[in-house]
Amino acid sequence: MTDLSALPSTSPDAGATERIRRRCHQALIEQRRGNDHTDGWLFAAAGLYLVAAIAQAMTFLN
Amino acid sequence: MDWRGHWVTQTIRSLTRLRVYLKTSMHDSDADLVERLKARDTAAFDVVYDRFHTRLYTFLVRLSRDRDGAQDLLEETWLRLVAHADRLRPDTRLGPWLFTVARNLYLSDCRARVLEQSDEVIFAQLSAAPSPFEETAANESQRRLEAALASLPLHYREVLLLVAVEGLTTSEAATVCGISNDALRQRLSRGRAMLAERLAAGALPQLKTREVIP
Repeated sequence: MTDLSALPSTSPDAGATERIRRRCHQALIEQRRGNDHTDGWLFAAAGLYLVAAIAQAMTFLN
Repeated sequence: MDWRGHWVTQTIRSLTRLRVYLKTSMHDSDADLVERLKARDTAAFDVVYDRFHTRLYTFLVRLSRDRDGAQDLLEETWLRLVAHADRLRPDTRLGPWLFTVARNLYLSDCRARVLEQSDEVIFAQLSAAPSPFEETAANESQRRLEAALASLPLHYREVLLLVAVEGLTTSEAATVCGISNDALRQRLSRGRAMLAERLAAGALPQLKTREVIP
């Protein structure tokens, strides 16, 4: 049986590797920022809901 | 230092090395890397990139027989990983996942070229292309092996590349190719037989018919 595991491997050129890393890092960072914004809006909405619920409860008790 | 002191020093050194090894391997397991990719950790991306980029690129060059095209497909594969990071399952095996994406991108690229170009152009591109590895082969037998491998039909070439060259298990390769384990084993066996025939014939056969794109 022919052994193919010893066949040589090759790497993309340094420029391509640099470009891939840069584009992927940039995409990850942008996604993280997007997530942070979403989390911020969710947090704000949850806060508003809580304040409204407390205000309603106070009105009811008074 | 007496022998007891030496023994204690050696034991401490061994334990330190073991701790570092365990920490590193646990830290870089697929499950951990998937978790970190989901959190958009660029350092995790670098670990995955360093682990797989050479294997993926080599696979794509041997599959497509085109270095520049393989580089474009490689870039697209990594961008897909980043774009789909949040949808990765915790038990995702990154190697097979990346090889699946790379293979599917190559097939899509072939199909797009078939639609865009005339039959003559496609035939010329797919049928007579030698492997780029033939030019850089270290010796004559390696050059013949590369040529014989490059001359195999795509569905045999890809399973040989995945299992015999890249070291994926038959089950992983079957997942990558989207076929059953039995079908994979059959293709592997026929691919090996065809490769042996072509090597024994001593010729460097050119494909006579257009490749069938699954």
